[in-house]
Amino acid sequence: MRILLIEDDAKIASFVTKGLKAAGFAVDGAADGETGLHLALTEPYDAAIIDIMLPRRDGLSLIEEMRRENIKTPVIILSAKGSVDDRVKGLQTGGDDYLTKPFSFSELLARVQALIRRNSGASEPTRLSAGGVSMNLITRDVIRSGKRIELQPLEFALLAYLMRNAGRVVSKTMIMEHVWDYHFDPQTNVVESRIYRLREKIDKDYSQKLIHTVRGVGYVFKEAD
Amino acid sequence: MYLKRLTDLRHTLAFRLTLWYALIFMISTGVAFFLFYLQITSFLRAQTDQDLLNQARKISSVLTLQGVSAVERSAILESQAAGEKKIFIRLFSPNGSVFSSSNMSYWQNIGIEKEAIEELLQGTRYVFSTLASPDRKLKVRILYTLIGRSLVLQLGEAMETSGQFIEAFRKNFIITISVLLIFAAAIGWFMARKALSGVEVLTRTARHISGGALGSRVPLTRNGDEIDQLATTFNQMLDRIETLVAGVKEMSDNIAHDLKSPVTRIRGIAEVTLTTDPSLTSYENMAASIIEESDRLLDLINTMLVISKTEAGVDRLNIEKLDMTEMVKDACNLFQSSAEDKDIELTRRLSEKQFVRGDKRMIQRMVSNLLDNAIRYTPDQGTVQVSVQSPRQDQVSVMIKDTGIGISSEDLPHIFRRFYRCEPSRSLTGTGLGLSLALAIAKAHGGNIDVGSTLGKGSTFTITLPKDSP
Repeated sequence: MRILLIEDDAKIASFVTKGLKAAGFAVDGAADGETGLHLALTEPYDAAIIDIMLPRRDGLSLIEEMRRENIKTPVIILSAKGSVDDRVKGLQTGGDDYLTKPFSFSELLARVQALIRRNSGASEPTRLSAGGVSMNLITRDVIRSGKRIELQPLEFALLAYLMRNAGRVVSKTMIMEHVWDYHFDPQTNVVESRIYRLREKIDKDYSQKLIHTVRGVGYVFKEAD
Repeated sequence: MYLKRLTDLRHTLAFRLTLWYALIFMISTGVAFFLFYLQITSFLRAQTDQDLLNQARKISSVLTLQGVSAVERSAILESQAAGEKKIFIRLFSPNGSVFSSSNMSYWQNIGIEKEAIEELLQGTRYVFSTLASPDRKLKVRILYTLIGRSLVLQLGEAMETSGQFIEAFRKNFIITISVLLIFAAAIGWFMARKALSGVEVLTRTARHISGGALGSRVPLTRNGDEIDQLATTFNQMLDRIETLVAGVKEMSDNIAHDLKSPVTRIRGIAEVTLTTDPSLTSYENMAASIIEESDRLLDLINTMLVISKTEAGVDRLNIEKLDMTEMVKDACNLFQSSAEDKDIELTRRLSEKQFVRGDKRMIQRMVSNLLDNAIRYTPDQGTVQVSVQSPRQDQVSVMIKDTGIGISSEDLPHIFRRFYRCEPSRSLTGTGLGLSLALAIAKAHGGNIDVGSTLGKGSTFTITLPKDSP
């Protein structure tokens, strides 16, 4: 999987590149709009991450030019502006997703993967399984080691999200917004409380813990190393 | 300097008003005088014509009664009596041969007009004309009429008196209108200045304010005129600006305090880790702490920005039709586990659908902030009641009632201020921005938040929003 990253801030470009490579992507970088456009028009990419404020050519006109040239690479726009108008403008220009700076890397990674998945035309799975837990998304059955586990709707959605992103860290904000479509100040303990309950049901009776806290960043569903 | 002031004066509204006033005054006075002038000249001419007609009739009757020679004598006598410079009388046949006349030495330039004779022969009884006598610089009014069978009488009268009168009138007119114009300009200037004096006060106040005196206000005359209304509006605008500036100042103070703390912590953690304990665990802890502190900092910045933008109305709200009952139900479901963790009974009284128009994300933040506070400040085994009602036909209200620690009457008026934290809540996590954000959101949606509280017994927060039709 090849990703094109067009970002003029060297430090941001560096940590994003490092993180994407660690997640198994090949990353090409450009520090200005013209170089970025040249790469986008000449090389095939699975996704592009484009900053709006760029030297030599701004991100929005770059995306416009890409779309004019019929380049269908899915684009995530990075911007310091987060108003509704800016977001709408970015998506109307031809961006597929919009992330406001400062962003958490796990959020960016999750969005890149979701974009690539959507773009590849892969249909939504009806069953998820990881670490000995299987979830049937149609019948809403959750089974671990042959034993049925009863989950409340909010807990079911949370587990499904964690399992879809198995092995990847998801932040509290991501859980709030993507699982429950809820937006508020992440100072509350709602997510911790739900994770605690989910652990009680999923992990409590098993030595192999699956839901782990990554302090400061969020949670990850994986079998312990 | 003086020239510059004069040039500046030319651009003033008072100067332009005065100019217009003087111009309109001059035109209207000029028109009035001109009509008056026309009336006077036509009256004088009519009087001269009447004199000439009387003379002609007299001569005509002399001809009828006493014959041609008597007419000749009478003409000479008449002209002498009136003054030979004043009138002349000439008798001639229609072919132009002069039969007799008074002394014509003063009237040498006055000939016989053929057109007048033709008109008489066509049947016109009296023909008048006005001729200028270039050597005497006056106008002569002339009457032609047929007397007897075939005798043309030409009577002329110098329009000297009326000419002098008109000349005097013209002179007086110019003097009068000049005086009146100066007078009008002075009155116009005075009136314009008087009318605009309020604007001047307004300008002075504005200048004073740009010097930093935000507390200044324009004095009102209380007579309710346009200037007074302008001053009232201006003062209201100043009130708003002063509030905003005070808000900005308070904000800066708080930013200085509240933003510096996490930065200080981040710096401290990193410094201590680098200088004291270079183990992998401590580096991992440092990274995690830095992320936590950064998130807190970002949350603070973002919330402050949202409050400022919402209050200033610069961020467009993504307005849609929302079922408030459904939204409160979702919030309660979300917070159910947090309430259960503290053994708090979260009861909801949600009736039928209640629609409002609003920004979903914003409304979510407002409701969850209040619900989060209620659970946070309610001790274990307490109760939080949430209800959605429509107390009035045009209103939807969300009431969140808790049996928490309550707010003192001293603190109550200030709880919606940014960063305001009551004494018991200082030890708990939070930015101190939740309530100000909630209120800003409510107001941006045309609603409000009311609060009632008893210390030690609990608080009730009531959000009211304009209702939308189902």
